[in-house]
Amino acid sequence: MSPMHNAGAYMIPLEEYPTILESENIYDAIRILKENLHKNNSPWQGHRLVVALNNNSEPVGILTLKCLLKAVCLRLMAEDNSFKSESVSWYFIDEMRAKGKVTVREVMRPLEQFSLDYNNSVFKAARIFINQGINYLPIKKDQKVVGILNSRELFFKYYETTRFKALNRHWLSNNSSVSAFFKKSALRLIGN
Amino acid sequence: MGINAEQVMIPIDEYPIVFENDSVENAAKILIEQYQTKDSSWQGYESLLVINNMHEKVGFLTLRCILKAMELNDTVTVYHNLYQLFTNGIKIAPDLSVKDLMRPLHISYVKSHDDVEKAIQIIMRNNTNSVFVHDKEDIVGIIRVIDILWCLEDLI
Repeated sequence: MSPMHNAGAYMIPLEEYPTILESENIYDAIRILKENLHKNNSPWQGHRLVVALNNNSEPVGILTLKCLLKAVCLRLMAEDNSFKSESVSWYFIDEMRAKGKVTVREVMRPLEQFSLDYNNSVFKAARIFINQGINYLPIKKDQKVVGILNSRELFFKYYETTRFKALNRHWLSNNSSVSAFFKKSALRLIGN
Repeated sequence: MGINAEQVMIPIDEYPIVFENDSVENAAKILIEQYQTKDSSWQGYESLLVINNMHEKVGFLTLRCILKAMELNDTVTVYHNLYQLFTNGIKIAPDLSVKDLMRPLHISYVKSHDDVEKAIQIIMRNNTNSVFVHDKEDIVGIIRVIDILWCLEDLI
């Protein structure tokens, strides 16, 4: 496969991302994200996620904007009277929130949840983005996460490299003789 | 008083436009041009408003929609479609147009006076990156996840 179709070619190395300990409060994570987005005195330039580390400084998860929205959903659950009356979990969620102790670990996405090998294709990455509804995909090399593939970066850099010449045509339409062969075989099988 | 959708949304008039019968390639070019005119930062728009020949708003073409065009080239998808061709006889479109991939406007929206928490619930339930904002049966804006970041501390 051409290197320009490798998912790894479009990733951002892990060390470029801001980090936070998984035991830290999510308010600290929000502050880090906001500071990061205002790098170079310009809005929106920075990364939109924080890499979560364990006590051994090993990356264990990513905290994205949608992970932070989960914390809002926790608050809405805690305020829901029907949830309060029906679920024992309400007590623990309420305690956690009351002490301001919603930590990064509670809402982050573990690195192991979705990942892709460095040499897998960008098309496979696109399929995972679509099917799983995610925007960031950890990239592994020799079983170790080395970077994050971002759907925005994938789109822009892939366009720069290929101008999307490989797209916009279904594989089968480019190989109409193949599709005609299958159709003919099918018709022969059913006796037409 | 809570934060409502109108206070957070990006007005629809700020979005670049593409026609529903345009090719995906042309739509991608428009998005790239927008990206480059915003000093190569993604403060620009990652979606395009789709209009029909009567200039009526009919949908949104997001980055994820364009990634769908890439997904069609994945081996697993190709083999799956071969099976479909063999068993059902699928229609093969030689060219994908914007309307083949766009997100319709009438699905999953909030009203402009709704609390932004409702927008968050819809985003999380549907696993999308944005939600439309309607006022009097017409779309007036979009709330993206990044727009919510700036008021997130007040919502947690």
